[in-house]
Amino acid sequence: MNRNAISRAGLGRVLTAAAVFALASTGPAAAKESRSYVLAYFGHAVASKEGDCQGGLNPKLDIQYAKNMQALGMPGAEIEKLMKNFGDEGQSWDKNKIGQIMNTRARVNGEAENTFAHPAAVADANLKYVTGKVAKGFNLDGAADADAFADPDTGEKGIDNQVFRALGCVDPFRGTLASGTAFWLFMWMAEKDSMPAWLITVEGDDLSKDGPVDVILSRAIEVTKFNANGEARADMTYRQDPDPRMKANVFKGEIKGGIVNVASQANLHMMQDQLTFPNFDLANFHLRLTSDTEGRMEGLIGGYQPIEQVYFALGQGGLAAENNYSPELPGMYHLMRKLADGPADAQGQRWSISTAYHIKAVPAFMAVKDTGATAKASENTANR
Amino acid sequence: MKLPVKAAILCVAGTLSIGAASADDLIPGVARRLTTAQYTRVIADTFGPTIKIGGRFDPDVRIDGLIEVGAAQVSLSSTSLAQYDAMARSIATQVLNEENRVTMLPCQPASATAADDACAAKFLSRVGASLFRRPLTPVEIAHQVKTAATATEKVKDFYQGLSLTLASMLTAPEFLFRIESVEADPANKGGYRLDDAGKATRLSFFLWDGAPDAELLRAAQKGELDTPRGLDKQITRMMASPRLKDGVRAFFDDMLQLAGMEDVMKDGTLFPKFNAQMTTEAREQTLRTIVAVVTAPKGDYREIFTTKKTFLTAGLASIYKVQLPFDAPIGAPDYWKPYEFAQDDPRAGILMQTSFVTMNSHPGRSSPTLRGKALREVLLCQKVPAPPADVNFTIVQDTSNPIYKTARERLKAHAVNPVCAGCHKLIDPMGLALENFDGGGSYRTAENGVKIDTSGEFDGVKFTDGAGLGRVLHDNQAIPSCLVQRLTAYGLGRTPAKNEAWVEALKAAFAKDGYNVPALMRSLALTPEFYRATPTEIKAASNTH
Repeated sequence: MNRNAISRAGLGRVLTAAAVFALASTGPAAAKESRSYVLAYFGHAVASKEGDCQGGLNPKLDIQYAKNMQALGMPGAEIEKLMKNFGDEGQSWDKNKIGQIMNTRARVNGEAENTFAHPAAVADANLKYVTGKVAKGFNLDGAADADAFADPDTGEKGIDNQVFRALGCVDPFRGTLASGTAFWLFMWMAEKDSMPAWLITVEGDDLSKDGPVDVILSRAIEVTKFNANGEARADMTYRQDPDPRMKANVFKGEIKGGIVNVASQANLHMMQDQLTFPNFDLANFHLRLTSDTEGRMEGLIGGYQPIEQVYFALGQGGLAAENNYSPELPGMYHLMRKLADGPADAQGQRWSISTAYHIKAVPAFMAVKDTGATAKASENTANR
Repeated sequence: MKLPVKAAILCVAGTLSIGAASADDLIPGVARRLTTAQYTRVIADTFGPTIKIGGRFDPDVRIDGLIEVGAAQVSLSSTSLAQYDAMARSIATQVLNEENRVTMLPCQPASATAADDACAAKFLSRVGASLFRRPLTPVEIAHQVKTAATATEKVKDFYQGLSLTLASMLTAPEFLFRIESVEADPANKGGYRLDDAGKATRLSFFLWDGAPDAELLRAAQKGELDTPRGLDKQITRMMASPRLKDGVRAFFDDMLQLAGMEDVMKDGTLFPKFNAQMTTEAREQTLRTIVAVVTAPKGDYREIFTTKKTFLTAGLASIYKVQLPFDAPIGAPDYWKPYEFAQDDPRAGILMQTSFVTMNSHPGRSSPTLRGKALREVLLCQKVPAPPADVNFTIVQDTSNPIYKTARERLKAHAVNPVCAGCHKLIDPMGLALENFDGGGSYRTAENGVKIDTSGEFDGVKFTDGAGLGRVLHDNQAIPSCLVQRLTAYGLGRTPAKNEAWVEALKAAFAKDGYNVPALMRSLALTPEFYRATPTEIKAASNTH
């Protein structure tokens, strides 16, 4: 059992003491118990360990850029001359020769094109990837393949998380669930105050007991609200975005041993933030969330995500993004293409890749429709 | 015989005194410095809500539980005068800038670079009546117009010249102070009463918390406020105005000392949901609750201690852990929704609202003592002595004490000291009834793992929790009695002497009217004593010279 899981009795205590309930529907079916949460953190699920990248981590930017220039056929003397000025932040763009070269190192029909818009047209830098044996995530294909990871905490075999494998030898993408990665800590800080909040609702006959549940993911109109101490504010009321594109995110799952699980063959489609994932898709959607004594949820979501989505979350920042958190963004694209393990198309090409995201959520209310009358506390909220 | 208003304000050595040109023709009145809220309202009423007020006001002073009483006993320091001057210049500049002058001026000057006495007179007499709460005399208008002309001549700009004159009016004592001038009282030989302008000012600030409107000034000028019929007519008109709610709000904001919310700070680690926005919203919640209860048809003041109805924002709802109906358009900010707590919800009345429990707590913990003290002093008009200077509070403050796990246990241990026991016996039982609400306003049933005991007794009546305390207060006669006392003091600007017969009569009328606050306000406004400057009052005012 996951060490973070709480006992069944513990979940029952959580439900009566701290969890909050949403009664979004008022018809006869409203007998179901319903609990809602708002997303409080989002980032790649990682489990980096010392020595899990054979031959060490990928090189720093200056070394990689020198290699890239070499790959472009530039003479060594010129590279050496240019690299003498590397990192001079006082340079304007017209004098930033290295930047100009790196920004257009894609070649389409022999013409220089934007590197980050055309990653497949950039020579593969053959970056290193994770060769370690552990990762966080889900066994998406049900197989315990020899090349799959094992969960570092539970020992579960067959964990599919090729995004971790592809990105995990670049320093800002390394970390653990507890620490997060530098990349995602930055991205979450940047988007949390502007991205419409994600809502997670768990519905079942009796959420204090093991049994089948529905897990619904939706988006709010409001952004997540935060406390003065920076933590997501619990017990806020959010209005659900009626956008029909996210209506289908209802998944059959179960509560088992106090853990909410979804192991679905269906697809999740969410909309997030322009900064990272304008569209966020996970095929074979999986979810595993545990609850603490304050009613907060923490765990993983995962599935097969289009490589294009994963790449452009990194690559749309262009040269600045590459300078900040990756020595070789197209190289990461190439790695993901090589390591892709999603379903193959008719040509045998795999365009999606297994991944997992670490999420945290706090109790929230889903707004009921305002009828204009004085609202009255629902029976559930009064007796919580 | 009607006496001319001769009260003059002299700024001497940085302090302001009420006096006269000479000691012989001294006729004092009551002067109350405009509170921050009143200053803001008068500016908005005169020039519209778009005029921004920048600057720092002197802190309002609370005496006998009320800022309105304190306002009658404060002066101006040279520093605050400088602040008022800066605010005045800023307001005057905005009023007469290119964007606003078209709507603010009732006329167009013949030339933008030369004086226009007729146009200036029109503007200054209209604005002056609103700012000074009375029509300007012809001499005053002539003086202001001359000032404007002189200034215009110097700066070669009509609007700038007028702006300088307006700024000087905004720093005039007649604006910064509500000067309630008096005249001989024919019904009380040797005594004084407020004159027409004084009556209009008192009435308007009492019922509307703002300056008299044109109709009230007209009635005052015609002497209609001197007749019971004329007075009744104006009061009836004013009571029917939506501005009555402003007056009710202002009174309860003062009486409940809700301005204290501005100073509430909480430990963000212990009470993460409580932030600066909550201080504003919690105060507003309580005011909205009270106004809704007491201004409802046949509204009973005592129900503010028992009502399940309130108003919430999403932020407050998160503190109360309740679901809020919410249907604002996309992008709309948080807004207020009426809300009714379930019958079995522990919250009822204003005492369990975030404002009261957080304001009367410490930054890191609740305080039954502060809460009990506030209940005694604010709602029951009692005085609780300050603790002796050498009291040891160690046990009370030690919330992680392994032996005394709840506030009740800690206070019991603390009150072993006989010096402390007397007061704590008086104030703690009521405060302990609210211990289900922590220092951040959230509901709890246990402290350090021990169930919280909220039972107690007040005036021989037992209760088991905060809601029970609310019901006990609802039925206790000291509650409406204190309200009458506070409302009277609020209107008069002074605390009436104990057991004054007319105040006792108001208490009886309040009970007869079903504890309806607007009815009480009306009764008070119709009482001749409300406009009477008693010898005591005159003496007090004279002593400030």
